[in-house]
Amino acid sequence: MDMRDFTSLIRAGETAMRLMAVFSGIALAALMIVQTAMRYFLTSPFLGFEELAVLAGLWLYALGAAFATRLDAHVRGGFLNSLDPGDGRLRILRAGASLVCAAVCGVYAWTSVAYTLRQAQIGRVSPYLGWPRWLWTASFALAFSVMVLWFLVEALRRVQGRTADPAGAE
Amino acid sequence: MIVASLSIVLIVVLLLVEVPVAFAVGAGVIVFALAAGQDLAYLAPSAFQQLGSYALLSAPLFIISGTVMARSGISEAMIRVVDVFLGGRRSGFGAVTVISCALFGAISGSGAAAIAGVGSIMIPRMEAAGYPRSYATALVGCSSVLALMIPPSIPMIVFAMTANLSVAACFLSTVVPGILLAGVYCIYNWRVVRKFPEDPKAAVEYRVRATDVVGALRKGAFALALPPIILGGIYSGLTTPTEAAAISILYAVPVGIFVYRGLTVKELGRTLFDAVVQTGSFVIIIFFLFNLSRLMILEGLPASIAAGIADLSQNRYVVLLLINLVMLVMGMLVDDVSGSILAAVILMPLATQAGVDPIHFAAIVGTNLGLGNVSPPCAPLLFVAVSVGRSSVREVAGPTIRALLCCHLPMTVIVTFLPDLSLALPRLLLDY
Amino acid sequence: AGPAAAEKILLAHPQPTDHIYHRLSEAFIENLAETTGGTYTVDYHPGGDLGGFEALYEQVMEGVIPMAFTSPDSTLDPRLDVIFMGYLADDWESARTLYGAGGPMEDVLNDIFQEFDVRSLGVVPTGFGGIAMRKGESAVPVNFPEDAAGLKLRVPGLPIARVKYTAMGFSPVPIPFTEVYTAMQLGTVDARAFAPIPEIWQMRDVIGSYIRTNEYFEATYWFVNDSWWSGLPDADRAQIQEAVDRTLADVWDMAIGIDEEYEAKVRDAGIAVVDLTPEQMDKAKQAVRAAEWPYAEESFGADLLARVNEAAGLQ
Ligand code: NA
Ligand code: NA
Repeated sequence: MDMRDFTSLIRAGETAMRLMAVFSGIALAALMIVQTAMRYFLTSPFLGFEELAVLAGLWLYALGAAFATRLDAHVRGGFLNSLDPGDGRLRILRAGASLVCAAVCGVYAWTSVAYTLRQAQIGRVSPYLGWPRWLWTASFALAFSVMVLWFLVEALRRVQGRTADPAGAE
Repeated sequence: MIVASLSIVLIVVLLLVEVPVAFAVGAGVIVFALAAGQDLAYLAPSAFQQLGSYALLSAPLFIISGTVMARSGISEAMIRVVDVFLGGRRSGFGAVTVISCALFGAISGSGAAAIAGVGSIMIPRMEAAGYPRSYATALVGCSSVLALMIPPSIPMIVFAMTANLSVAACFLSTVVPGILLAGVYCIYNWRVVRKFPEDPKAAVEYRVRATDVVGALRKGAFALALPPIILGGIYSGLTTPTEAAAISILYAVPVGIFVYRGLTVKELGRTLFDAVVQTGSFVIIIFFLFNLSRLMILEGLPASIAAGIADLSQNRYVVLLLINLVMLVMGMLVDDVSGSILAAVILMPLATQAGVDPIHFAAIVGTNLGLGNVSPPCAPLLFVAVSVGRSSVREVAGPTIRALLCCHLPMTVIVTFLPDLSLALPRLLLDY
Repeated sequence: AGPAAAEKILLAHPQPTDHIYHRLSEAFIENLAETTGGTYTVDYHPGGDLGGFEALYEQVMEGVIPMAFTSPDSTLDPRLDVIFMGYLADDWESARTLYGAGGPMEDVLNDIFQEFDVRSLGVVPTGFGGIAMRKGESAVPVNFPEDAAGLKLRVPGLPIARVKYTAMGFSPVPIPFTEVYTAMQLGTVDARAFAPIPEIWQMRDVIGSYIRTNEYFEATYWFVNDSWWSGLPDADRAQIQEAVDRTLADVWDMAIGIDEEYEAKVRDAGIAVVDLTPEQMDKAKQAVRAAEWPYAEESFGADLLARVNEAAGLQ
């Protein structure tokens, strides 16, 4: 596989994740609306809504967090942004900050992947739908893994002194 | 205790070098766990369990509806209504900004949505009326906190969930303080604006823009109907807070598309995506904070902090004062959602021990930590206001801190020492 | 800490300090100090600060928390819902025979627990469940299913709860635990289920009447992680077991005492406590069994159901 294939594969993956993010938002809203309506119009509600809503919610949280990394939309404080952006030592410091994030995500990617595999191993299922539980926890396992990559890319960009990513800043 | 303190120092240092709040806390958690000999493997699963809460689902729903409304033209119609009543004089523009933020708060759970909806319209108008841009931006930032004090409110959802309290009851506790604070900001603005030099050209700008009361009300009717739908639904028992959030989306989307025409079906996808990212950026913070508070509980930290403060004094008011000081410092370092988790875990047991009513404590937390969103160095709402107002943190920090010291901080003290202020409404509506 | 630092056992439960869990914990802390001569102490976490019922069970299973009072989580294995099956016991005495130490239910469950690296050191009964009607709701259903028609009933997220209460004629509404109080206050629901009488006392301000339908018996467990437990030195394990046995010696009398104590308190608070007549009770039993037995057979298998039926003396 040459570099171009690889890039387009990454692009496709990102687009798929974007669509999933929007879909999880729509799904969550739709589920909650239908559930509210059913509580009033049907005597015996379908309790599986609750677990579906939490499923949509977890994927929404996880993908949202991943894209907050991609689009540099995390909540942060600090004082570096008021200093000279051209300073070389500052560039290293900022790249270091990205590496800290990548490391944290690495630890959590490892533990959430391990946990997800354990769920699959014991064959745990959701109470109403009987869906495998790993579908729920896989959300953050994926998000943390993707965030490791994006933070490493960010660190590289910061070392080179590039601040914004044209693809991310649309 | 030493391990915990070192992790806190690490977190603060990382925050100062602009590591995002979430991952600064995450790094602190990992170091804490390793040093205390706790199992790293269970940290992620324990946070999953807490995030999988049904009550938390109202947060993304309120963020989605708030983002939809900020972009749909609903906020414009709302501002027009306020404008008819308050917009006649130069100081009126600030008042319109403050009141619109509070009113927008009654339909939205996030301060950022209020800034997007109100700030983008009102900052240019205030500037045209001769307000310095830095002051106009600071005023929007400070009053966006009102959107969190008037329910619904994301930080209050997180607080109620962590403290095991009813979301509906916690929502009510900050309503009266929020309305009072809006009044205080209007008066403050009136005093400050008098000192700005008159610009004869601007005089034209701030003459009454809309005098057609009936027209404005008719146009604004769909926007003004939303607070009664959301809050009426919750407090009549027709819907739970989560269901009310879902219904607000069901209402906002068609109204935004067909009535106010600020939104197209195509833009809806974009808007949803932005709301998802905004949700993710705060959920990832609480994910790591759940871990931090778990470690603190396992190490018995809340109990020793409580014992430490109890050693200093047994007097309820002294304890409350100390709690407020701790929260104030916490609020500067982190945003209000993070602060409310830490307050629920560390300070709540202490407050209840001192005989403070849990719902009163919710009001103290809501009012005090509202400051945390606009108090540097970590001030997410201030940063959003700065980017909407195309200004810089350095310029805006001064007027922001002055406004907070004159209005928000005194209100925090009043809320702390007058429990009736926060408990009146829960008593009236919930027989609390 | 002294020259030989005491080993700490982390013990957690999800209830406030007026619950039977707390009384047992306090007794265990004392007994453990005696039987182990202070070599073991308890790192005590009440009030759910390390998670609710399900979270605690999972943490014991994962070995993160060695010891907890909680009920098993049926999302791990639907067979665990067997403990919430309706009308297996009629009164405290039959409940004690069925669920108590050395009883048949213990055998049934221990096999399942062991598959998850969990062990029960003993049962902790908390009482029969009933239906609590909100204050201001005039209906007092006693003939099931017809009296309950149109009444919205809050249920927890257990599949068997929907089956049970639909069969009793209610419209079950899943509402998270933190919103139950407000939902009862505002009328989002008309009633709540899964409530032994101490919980009625906790919510007395919003409850008008309490119907002792006894549609299930709440048996919870003193769980330990099995690997942790078997990894203890034999002598130590025996000493800890001794402390557990002493603590649980009169747990049933304690539970019955608490039930009576709280029923009196609830009545004093002005709540109408309603008992079913034998005929009404029979009718409710039949309604629940007609729906729950077929569900149970499908959900946890004919074998397990047969074992339970035999244990409960219901052939
Ligand atoms: Na609000
Ligand atoms: Na802050």
